[in-house]
Amino acid sequence: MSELVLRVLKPGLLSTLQDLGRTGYQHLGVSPCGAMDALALRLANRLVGNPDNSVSLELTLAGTALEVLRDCEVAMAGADLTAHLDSKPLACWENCTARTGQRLVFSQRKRGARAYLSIAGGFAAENVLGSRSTDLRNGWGGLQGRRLQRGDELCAHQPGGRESRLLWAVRPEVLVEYQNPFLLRVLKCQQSELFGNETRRRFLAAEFTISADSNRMGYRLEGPRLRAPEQELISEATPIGAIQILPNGEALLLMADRQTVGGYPKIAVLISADLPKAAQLCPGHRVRFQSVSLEEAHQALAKQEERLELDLLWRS
Amino acid sequence: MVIVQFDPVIASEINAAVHRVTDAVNTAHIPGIVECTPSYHSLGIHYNPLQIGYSEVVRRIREIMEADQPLRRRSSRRVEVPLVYGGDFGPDLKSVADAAGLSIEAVVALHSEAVYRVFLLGFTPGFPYLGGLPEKLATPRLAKPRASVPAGSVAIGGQQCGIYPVRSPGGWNIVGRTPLRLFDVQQVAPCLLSPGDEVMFRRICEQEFVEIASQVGVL
Repeated sequence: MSELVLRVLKPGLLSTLQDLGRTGYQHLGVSPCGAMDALALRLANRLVGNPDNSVSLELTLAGTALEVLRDCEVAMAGADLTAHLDSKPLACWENCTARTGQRLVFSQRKRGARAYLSIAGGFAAENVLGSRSTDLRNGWGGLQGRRLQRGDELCAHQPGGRESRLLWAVRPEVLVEYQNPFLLRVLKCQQSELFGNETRRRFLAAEFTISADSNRMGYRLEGPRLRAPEQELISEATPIGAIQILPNGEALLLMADRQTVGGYPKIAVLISADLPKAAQLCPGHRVRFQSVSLEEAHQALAKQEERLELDLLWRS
Repeated sequence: MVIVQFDPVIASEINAAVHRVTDAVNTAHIPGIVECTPSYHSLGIHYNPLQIGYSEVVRRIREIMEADQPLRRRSSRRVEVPLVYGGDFGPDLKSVADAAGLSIEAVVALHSEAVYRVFLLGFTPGFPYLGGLPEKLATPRLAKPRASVPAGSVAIGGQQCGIYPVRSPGGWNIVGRTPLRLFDVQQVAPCLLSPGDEVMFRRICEQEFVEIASQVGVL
């Protein structure tokens, strides 16, 4: 059972329906896709009482306008895109009630790059291979496998569970810092060795800028050209967060819609705990990388998860 | 992700080992191991560090690899792929023949007599990277990739052969087209081919292409 809830007046730069992604099919060449910032998606869902994997709307940068077609409970998480419900500012990391006829407008990017709009019950979307995430390249999942367009109408499932309309907010300490320049922690990987000490040192010392030629597949990083190993490599599996060096020396950071295997050498891989931060980068942002140990990486992830559990705060 | 790497060569025995270990890891259903991505000579194991530690992943994989029996042949299917060579369906057949210094008929004979092996699926969903291309037919990739290659196109890229399951950009030399549907997301098993399968191409004419295509619902 699902009902119409929102109409798209303006789609904005790139708006897609996403859940936590399509796992279990990379061996067939199917990219996981899913929310770029999985942490923000989970928090947006928790704010309205949804399971973590419910479908939310991923909005990129600015320009989206939506009309509310039925009273509903919504929440925002992730980037601050200056959201308004009619004239009233809609706080990020909080839930609220939207009334029929109101307009939800995202006018200007203030912080981060991607915001998640969740709705109690979750958006209805096409299930393909166990996930409702939009796969833009293959044209499936989400709403007809594509980005939202003007005039699209979105349905949501009936909310279950929480009955009273409590207001919830996220504790400030859980919020990922979206401070420019961004510092992202990386692990070295087996292929890092191919680059030699001098190139790895230059990589860690450099500041890169996210290029305009970046998307959900990956970000091109403008900065010093790094010397790629001369030997041609046999393609292997590519994890999210891998930083590949192209033959011309340019660095590429792989994100949610990446291909499942790749042949460019990887100099480093982002730690999982910093993927949410990386998801909030947009063209022009500056980024530096810091090398950490595997233990530190896993501790950072465990700490993030612990905070998430403590995180919802009842706001009277 | 943990990468298990075998000898860095593209070879059937190595690739068979990769898929044997992949099958064993999948069958073991180890909590915290999310999924495996096998490729030519290596296997990427995606794991959730909140559920399983790195050293435990490595220990379990070692155990599996020690129990691996290299002599046990993984049952491989042989799939026959009907193919129209040349013409509008294979616009690069002539340049492949020119590069090899062979006649078109000789290229078709060589290509359709070989037995290929699916090393991995990747690039686009269900795209098989096929090893076993006769050396004479190896042809460099196009200098400028095509923006759009029709679904079913069979193409040569360097030492490898591949089949484009869906319309997509592509830089390989297209020698023909099959009416078979290689990927159907609506099916429980969406891919026609699996890693380890053997593939043989059977030359067909355009009329047979149309007949098969209408049977499998491509047209």
